[in-house]
Amino acid sequence: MISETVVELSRWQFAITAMLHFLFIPLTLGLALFLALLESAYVATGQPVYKSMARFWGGIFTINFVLALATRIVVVFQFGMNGSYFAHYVGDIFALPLAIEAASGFFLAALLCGPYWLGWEKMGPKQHLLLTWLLALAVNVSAFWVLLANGWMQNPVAASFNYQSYRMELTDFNLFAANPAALAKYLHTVAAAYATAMATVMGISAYWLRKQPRDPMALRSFNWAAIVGVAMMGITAGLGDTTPNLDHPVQQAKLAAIHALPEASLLPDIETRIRSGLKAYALLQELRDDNKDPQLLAEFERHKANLGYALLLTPFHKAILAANDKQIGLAAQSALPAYPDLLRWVYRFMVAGGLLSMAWLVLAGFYSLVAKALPGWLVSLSVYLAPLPWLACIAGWFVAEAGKQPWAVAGILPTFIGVSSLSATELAVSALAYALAYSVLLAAGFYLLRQALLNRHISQPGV
Amino acid sequence: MPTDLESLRLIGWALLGVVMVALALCEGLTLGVALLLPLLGVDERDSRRLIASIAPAGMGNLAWLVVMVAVLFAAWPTVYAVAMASLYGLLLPILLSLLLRPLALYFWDASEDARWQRHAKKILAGGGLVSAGLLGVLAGNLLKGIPFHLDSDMRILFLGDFAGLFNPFSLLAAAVCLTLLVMHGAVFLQLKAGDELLPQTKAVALRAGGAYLLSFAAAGLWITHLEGYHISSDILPNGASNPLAKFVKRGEGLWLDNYEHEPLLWSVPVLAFVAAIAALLLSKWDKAYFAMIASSLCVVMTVLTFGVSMFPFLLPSNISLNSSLTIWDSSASPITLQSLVWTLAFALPLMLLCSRWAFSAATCAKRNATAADE
Repeated sequence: MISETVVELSRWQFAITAMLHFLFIPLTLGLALFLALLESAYVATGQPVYKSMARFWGGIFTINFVLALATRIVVVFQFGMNGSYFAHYVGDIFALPLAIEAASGFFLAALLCGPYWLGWEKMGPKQHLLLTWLLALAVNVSAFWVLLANGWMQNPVAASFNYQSYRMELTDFNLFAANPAALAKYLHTVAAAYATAMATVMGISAYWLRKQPRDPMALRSFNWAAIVGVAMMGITAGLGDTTPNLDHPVQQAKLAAIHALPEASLLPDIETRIRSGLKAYALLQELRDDNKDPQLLAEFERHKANLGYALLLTPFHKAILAANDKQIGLAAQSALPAYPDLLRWVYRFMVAGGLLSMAWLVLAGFYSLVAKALPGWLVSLSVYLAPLPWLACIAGWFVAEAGKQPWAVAGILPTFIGVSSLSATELAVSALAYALAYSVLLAAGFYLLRQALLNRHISQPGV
Repeated sequence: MPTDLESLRLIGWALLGVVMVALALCEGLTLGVALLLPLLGVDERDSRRLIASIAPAGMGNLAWLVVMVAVLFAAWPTVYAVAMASLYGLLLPILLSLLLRPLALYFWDASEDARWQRHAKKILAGGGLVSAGLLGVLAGNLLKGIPFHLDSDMRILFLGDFAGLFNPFSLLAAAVCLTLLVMHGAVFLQLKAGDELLPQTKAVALRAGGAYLLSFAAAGLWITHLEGYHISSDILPNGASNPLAKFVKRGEGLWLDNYEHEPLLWSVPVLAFVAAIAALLLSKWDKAYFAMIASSLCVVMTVLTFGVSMFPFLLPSNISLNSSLTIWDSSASPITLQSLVWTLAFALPLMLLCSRWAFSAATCAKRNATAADE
């Protein structure tokens, strides 16, 4: 069994590298479509103000996008480097959408990044516009496949344990691709990302409007973003993420935590599943000793869906088959979220942040669309409220991921089983190296963004 | 579309090969140019030319790496898991250099501060050296076998140490990798970076190509005495994936088995050798375009030599021989493999075309860089 230090270090390393990738996702998704719309307006009307807008926001987008791509590379390796048992155990299913994403949306988006950024003067306006639209399409396609993988960890459909290869295997691609958790997540996450990006555009435009109240570029950006933003915020809040409402014990535990419902009622069901999982585990050992009795196999098939629950016992009793009732009780307790209060308050923060952003966006949309003039207080407010939807996004991500703990894959594989057999020293050294590299990356990225925002100018040739 | 595991595994292996070749060709250029940055990019104008030749396609090239890793993960999850966990120490520096590279590539001149540019160039050159060198070390270790063991629950144990990965053979493999990429990068620059740099790029291409021929030949000779691997029990190409159900033996020169069974395969390493000589001569005679084709062929054949020698092994283990992973016993399930093969059958041709297009956009960049100089 792997020591607790190693488990903790691995979990933190994975969580932080994944989180640092997610930071850049909302702006990538949301700005790409905004850029395509602005550039279309330029090509359709020929007004130079739209070109300046597309170039300026294109600069912000590219810096953010390059950071998103760079941090993504690390995540692709991290599943195996830190979670090698996870990679073996569920890779047959989990990796498929990642491979499809890599070969479709990710590849196209990464490939177009350079030509988009460096190609303004090198191709005709229509060709460049086509490229921008393709880029916007690619990042949205990419998000779908990633969320399909992510949604499967929340609600593992179309999966079955194969005792010969000792792992979960895919049983039906169509069932997998139509996972209700993934679809709910996709619409909610993407709409939230659009709203967040629009809020960022409004915040930056408002910063400029405070200096020059009649700045045409900032005014137009603010108005466009307010209108798109209010629609997207409506979709985000209207749909919500319905994953916690799914009929799955892990989601029910999450739901109980975020709504402060009594959790104890869930325990008997979990205990039954642990006992059923123990039966499956015992039968599995016989099957692997080459016992070909069909009745044994049939009995195993009946219980194997709960195999993951038996693995919850490992921290309490090494030889899990010999666990006593008290240890089973402890294991059942450990299947509930460890810090329900934290989850609840982060959830409430997300909802409050979303509603407040909604109110702000509706006001801004009203003044842009109907009143045709922006009052000074709204402009100032916009500067300070801009990060709010972004914080709400991160809070939402935290509730979804932390709410499924102790599971890596809900009901199938506990997180502590999934980690690699590395040493604490290796993990400590690599954590230091990551910290150093990410600090350099983030510092350089924020320096560039700051320069772009303050000077409206990045000294790239031709910008 | 075949649905039996044997065909799916073979097609999957071939598609992984195509991705690896594309990765070597595309990312190889980025690495080659990055390696040449300290040699050829002495003043700012030359650096600008070098970086402009590769920047537009840079991120697309790197995307092939993500594609390769993701395809490996989906098609052979256990191989991915063992490789990532066991080669942790080698992969970490590669990852960190890749993490910083894109920002340096696209924004190296985004600040007037001279220190910013100096650091960006250092990151590009240092990152190129780290990734190209360590990828070579990694390839050498795959041929030698990795000290890992799979227990009955398929938990992966790495029993070697980091220093052990830097053995003489893997260092030779790193030399093959570095010299090949420097030659490839130099020929590319001869074609793309303009006439002012011509004498330098030609000289570098000649020397790097000569060094490549020497190190490739040395590695070839060494392999005849290196301990290779061979499946000694019956192979079950349609069996469920369980690496522990077979027996593996190890012996001197066993990596040459495939060539003995199929002598036509000898053409692969021979072509790598011939293509390198052709690239050198064509570069010397100022036929940059044809030199580029020959050099690309050399890269392709070098990658194929590696793949053909190891077939059907993907990851041999040198301490627990039967834990070795092959394409037959560590693959994904039939449904996953089928979905993946379908996707790649459609996507790969388009991806290759897109990659080629990104380089034509790079040609435009060169014209502009030259125009900006005047």
